[in-house]
Amino acid sequence: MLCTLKDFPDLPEGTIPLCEIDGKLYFAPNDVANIHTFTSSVSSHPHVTVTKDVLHHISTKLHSDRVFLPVTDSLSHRLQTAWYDGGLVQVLEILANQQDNSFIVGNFLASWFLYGHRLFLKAKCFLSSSTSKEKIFNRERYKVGPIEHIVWHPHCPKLAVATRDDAISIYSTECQLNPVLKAKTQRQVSCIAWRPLSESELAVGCSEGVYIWVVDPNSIISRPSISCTTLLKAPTHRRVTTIAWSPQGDLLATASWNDHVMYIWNVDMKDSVPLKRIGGGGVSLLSWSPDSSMLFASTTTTMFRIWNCDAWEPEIWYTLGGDVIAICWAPSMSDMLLFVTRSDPYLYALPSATRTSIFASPASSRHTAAHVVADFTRVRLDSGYTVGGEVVNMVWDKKGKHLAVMFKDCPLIAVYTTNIAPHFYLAPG
Amino acid sequence: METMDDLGAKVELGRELCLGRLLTASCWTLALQLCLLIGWSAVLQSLSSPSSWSSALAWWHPPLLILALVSQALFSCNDYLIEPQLNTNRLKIFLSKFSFRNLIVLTLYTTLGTSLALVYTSSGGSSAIWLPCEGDPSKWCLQEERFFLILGGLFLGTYFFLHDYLLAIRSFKFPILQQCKFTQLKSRLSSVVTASVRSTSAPVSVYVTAYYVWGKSARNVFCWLFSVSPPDNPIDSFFSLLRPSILFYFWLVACMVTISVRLTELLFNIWLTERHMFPLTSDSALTLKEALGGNSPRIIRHLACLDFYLMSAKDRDRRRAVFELSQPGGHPHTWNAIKTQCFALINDFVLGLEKGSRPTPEEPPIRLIRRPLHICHGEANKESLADPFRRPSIQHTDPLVRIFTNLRDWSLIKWAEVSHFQFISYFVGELSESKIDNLLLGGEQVMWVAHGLSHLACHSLEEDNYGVMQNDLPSIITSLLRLKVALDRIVKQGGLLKKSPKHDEFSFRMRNAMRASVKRSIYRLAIHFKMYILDLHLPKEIEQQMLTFVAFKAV
Repeated sequence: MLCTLKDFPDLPEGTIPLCEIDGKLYFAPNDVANIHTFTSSVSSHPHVTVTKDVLHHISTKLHSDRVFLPVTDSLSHRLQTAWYDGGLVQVLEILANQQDNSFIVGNFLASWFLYGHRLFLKAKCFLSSSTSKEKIFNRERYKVGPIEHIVWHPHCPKLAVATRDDAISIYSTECQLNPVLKAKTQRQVSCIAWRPLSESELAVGCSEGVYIWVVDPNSIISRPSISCTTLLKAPTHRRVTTIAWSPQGDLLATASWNDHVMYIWNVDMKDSVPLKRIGGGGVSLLSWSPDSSMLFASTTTTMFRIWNCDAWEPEIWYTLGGDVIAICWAPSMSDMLLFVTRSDPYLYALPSATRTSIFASPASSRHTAAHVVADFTRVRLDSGYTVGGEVVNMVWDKKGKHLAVMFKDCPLIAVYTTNIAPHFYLAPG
Repeated sequence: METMDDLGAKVELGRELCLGRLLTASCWTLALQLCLLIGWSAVLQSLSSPSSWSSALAWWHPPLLILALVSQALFSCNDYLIEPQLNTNRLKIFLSKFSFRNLIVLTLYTTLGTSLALVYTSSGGSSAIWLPCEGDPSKWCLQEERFFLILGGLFLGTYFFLHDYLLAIRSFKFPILQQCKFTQLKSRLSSVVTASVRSTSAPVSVYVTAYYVWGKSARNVFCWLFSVSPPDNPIDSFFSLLRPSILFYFWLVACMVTISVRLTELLFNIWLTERHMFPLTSDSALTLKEALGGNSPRIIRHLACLDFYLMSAKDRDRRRAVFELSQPGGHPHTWNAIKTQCFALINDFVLGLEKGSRPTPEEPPIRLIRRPLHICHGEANKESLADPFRRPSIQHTDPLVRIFTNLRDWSLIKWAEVSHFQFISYFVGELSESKIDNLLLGGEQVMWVAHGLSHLACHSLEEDNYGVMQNDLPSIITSLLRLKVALDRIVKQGGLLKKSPKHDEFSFRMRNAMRASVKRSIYRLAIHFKMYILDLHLPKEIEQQMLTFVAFKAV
């Protein structure tokens, strides 16, 4: 029977669930909720405070041109300023908008050049089946708070927090200092990931490529310099929007929404190999299986690929509609994964019950479908909360006991109880 | 017990494996070069007379191409088979450039360049380098355009010899991903072509300038050697040389030569670095433990280390064979043999690093060792033992031997005196980094072995039913930590060298890569065995280091 959000038990009025201890849920009133009264398991976690200064900083950065009053300037001066500010295109725009009758030929030529330039951009956009730069980076920017991304270190209680000013702060209880990682060219940070089996390496995907920061845990420097970082960039691979470390920390997969080629990096030697396949759009999401034997790569279309990491050949799958926005591999096994698409409010499981593994029978793989295991259709609970709809993110715990699902425009997080072996089982937590 | 004959036979098996791969790579190179040549001929002929493009290939083109290919194969495979030469001072480095082997390689490169230029320039039209003169048909006149192009091929061969062979660090690179060969070729082909086209502009401009300056002399020497008349309209003038047609054609030929050279190297690299699965036990084939040994050719040892790493990380069935006991007897022969080779590899590397990074003791002042020769007895012997820098005393009474020894000592003392002058010591002074850089060329295999041991140890928790491997866990941890400490030292040195003008990017990256890689191996062990670290009875210092890894605070 399909599990729906209606199946979740009602929340006691005026309280929120804080934790689960030995299978029992503990609730507390909204205003005096303190998890430390129930458990000390999170006492070693760092205390994170992000001040409003960050937002203030962003606001200043975005609208710095508005603090100056417009002035009337000579054409040559305006052209000079435009050249330095926006290059040839902005110069052409000024020439095309010039209202002077004595400049009619220049006006005409500039308009035609601009027209040709726009046509070229449209054609380029169409051919690469990509979204424009603004779209790519604004697609995820529906968040309104100062925090963009939060990532736990895979092995110790250390937290990396990326804020909207493209800085990354490292929080740890063992260190009083919170190093801030910031570089001049580290702009439009789109993803961050700690390197497994390493105490201090953090990969940051941004508009320039991928920065690999090495933050010495014993250092007393609060603002590590640019010498602590390595920039990975390939000539045609700059705007990195998704990154994933292999679980053994030896390889880094990077991809971009506007590029159908993804790169696998040997980070230490700064060497990369492109993985190119025709079809699908840009690569929007990457995820390694826990045993490094498979790599999930979702595209911006309905297609996604699962790469076999031994021969590096992909298996192609199609969703019913919409691209995959969240995916979880089953912990400690690589023959099962859960995913959610943008258009359908359902949780899918791969492989379906008819197959034993993703690569078990390639011949029949095209005829096999993923099966739905949960319904995320938006519902209104008796307690008054509305939950469900488009999924933002989804995480499966390392023991495979709980699955947490976060929805867009929803204050609640759905936590399911799961079991993997001997049969997959999912029930409202 | 393995006899010397068995060992020799196994080494021979390794050579056969290399030879087989070299032959396959050569065949593929030949096929690809022929495709290139046919494509080139087709394009050039279709521009002039589309109907007769097939006639552009002369009968002697394929044999010449094979000659060029064989010469290329000969110097390509050498790097894969023999260890890189170690030169510890600038003088040795300089002198090593003038070896007989390099002379042969130079000859091969120039043959390759000239023959490729000859083939590519003749497939476009006339293949003659001289023709009957227009004014006097009884005489032969040099066709200078063609002479210019073929001499260009010779120059390109020399340029590649200097740029790619003599002055470059020769080392082969394993692919990041173990893709199939065709996919590798496909994905790297475009970058090879682009890089070749880009790198052609430098030698082309140098050659054109050189021809403008010395072209006349070269032409006259050629005409004198082959008794032909110089052309009526020489092209070594400024405007003749800058004609777009000849420049473009030479640039095209140079591109084709460059692409041919780089493509051959790429094909050899792809074929020789393809993963080979060595059997764990076999009487007739080269096994993993034998391939890991120091007697194997260089590429075979690399392949064995890679196979060991991939087996440890991904192949459960083969891991099970490692953890098995022999029947009858119940001994872990397979693991013991592999373990011995792996430890030997790591220990040799660590010893090499320690020797290379340790500052050499200052030579004692010359006065201390210059003393009258005498036959040593009693006290003198003790004295010589106490002074490690003292020359061993002479115990011969034969006057001839004494004179000879005197002369030798005198020359050594003089040499020591002379080598202390700053100018001379620049050339003969020991380069501390050269030993380390030389070791780092084989760093990848040490990384694979470290990861292999680490993976195998972690899997042994679940798969090693007899505790075959867990007996050696303390030794594995100790070896890896010792390796890490040695690497820490050279990484610090490398950080200082980064600012120096003689900074070697490969060496710098490899130091950091090795350190990060070994640390990951130790972290893997720390995560899997964190509950048992105190039960392993490690030496106190090692235990402390492991505990920092368990806490994820290792420096």
